[in-house]
Amino acid sequence: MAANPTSFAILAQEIPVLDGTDEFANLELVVQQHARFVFKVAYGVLRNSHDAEDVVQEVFLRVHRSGTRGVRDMSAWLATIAFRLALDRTRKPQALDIAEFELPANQPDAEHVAIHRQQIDRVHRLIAAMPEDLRYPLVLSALEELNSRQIGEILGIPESSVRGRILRARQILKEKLAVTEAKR
Amino acid sequence: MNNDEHLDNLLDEALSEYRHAEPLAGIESRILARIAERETRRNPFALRWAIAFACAAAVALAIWLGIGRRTPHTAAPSESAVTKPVEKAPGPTQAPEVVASASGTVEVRKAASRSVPQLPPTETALQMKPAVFPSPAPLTADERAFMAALNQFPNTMPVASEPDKAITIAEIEIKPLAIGGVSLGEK
Repeated sequence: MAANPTSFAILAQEIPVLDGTDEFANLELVVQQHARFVFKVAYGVLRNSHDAEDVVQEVFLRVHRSGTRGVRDMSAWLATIAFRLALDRTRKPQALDIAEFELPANQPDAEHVAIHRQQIDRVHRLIAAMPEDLRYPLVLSALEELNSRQIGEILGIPESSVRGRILRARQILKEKLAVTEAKR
Repeated sequence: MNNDEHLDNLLDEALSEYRHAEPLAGIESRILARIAERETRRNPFALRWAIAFACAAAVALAIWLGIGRRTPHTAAPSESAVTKPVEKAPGPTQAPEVVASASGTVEVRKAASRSVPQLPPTETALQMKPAVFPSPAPLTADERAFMAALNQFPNTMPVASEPDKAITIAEIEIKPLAIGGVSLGEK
């Protein structure tokens, strides 16, 4: 996977440190900068908006409790917390998010959209059925904010393994999709 | 567009949903509100501890002051008797140990006391004694009558005015035991 220039921009930015008197103001800054990104990480694992937001809130509560002293890469650190909390949630029964199953009704060609939606859902089901060691590198690679090194930090694997697993995951998905497409 | 490209596009589109996933508007304010709420919930807990600590400190101070007031300031010597812990009553005295030495003589050793050395009973009693003993009290009717009689007829009651005479005790002489003309003390 090629290095994402956006990720380097995030790495280069100054990381606020939560200490001293203006702690809450610093936390507010971290929340403003990273809340949406943390949501995406949690959503990538959970595929449920409500659960993902719960995870985001839990992440920032933990940040508030522990502070950010000694954190070098804020994005990777927050993503790691969010990823682990989301993984914990996958082991619990999840709430059903009805909104995610609704089809957009205002599209011009509803039938075409429905067919396309089915295809995309099939891809999601295939992704969900993949082994975790292939699924999570692929899902996290979809986030612009994370590069291979950061994904490796989150998953606890070398950067080279991250790239290899993403390629392998894509290859497997395409093979399975080709089979299902041919059946149609 | 070949099949491989089509599959790539399908895959990318599916993955883009992860990239474009957006929370409901105002997630930042909800996060901060929850943190603030958690903080306010934690503070009463800390306040409760602070109140409990203050109460404990107040009780300890009251006890300390109460003990300080109960100590009499006029009778200085008796202060030690009040403030010092009460000496333990001496335990049962141990009998002297009789040891037969190798030379055939019999030695009598004082039993070694393993307990903490204690003050002699007389010394302890002195410490416990108040400055004026017995405590001053008004004379009874009999005592007043006796004092009046003593003042009126001093010669009729010589016992009261005579000082104590020294008692002399004759020197005690202990002779060594002799059995059959042989003295046990002689070698």
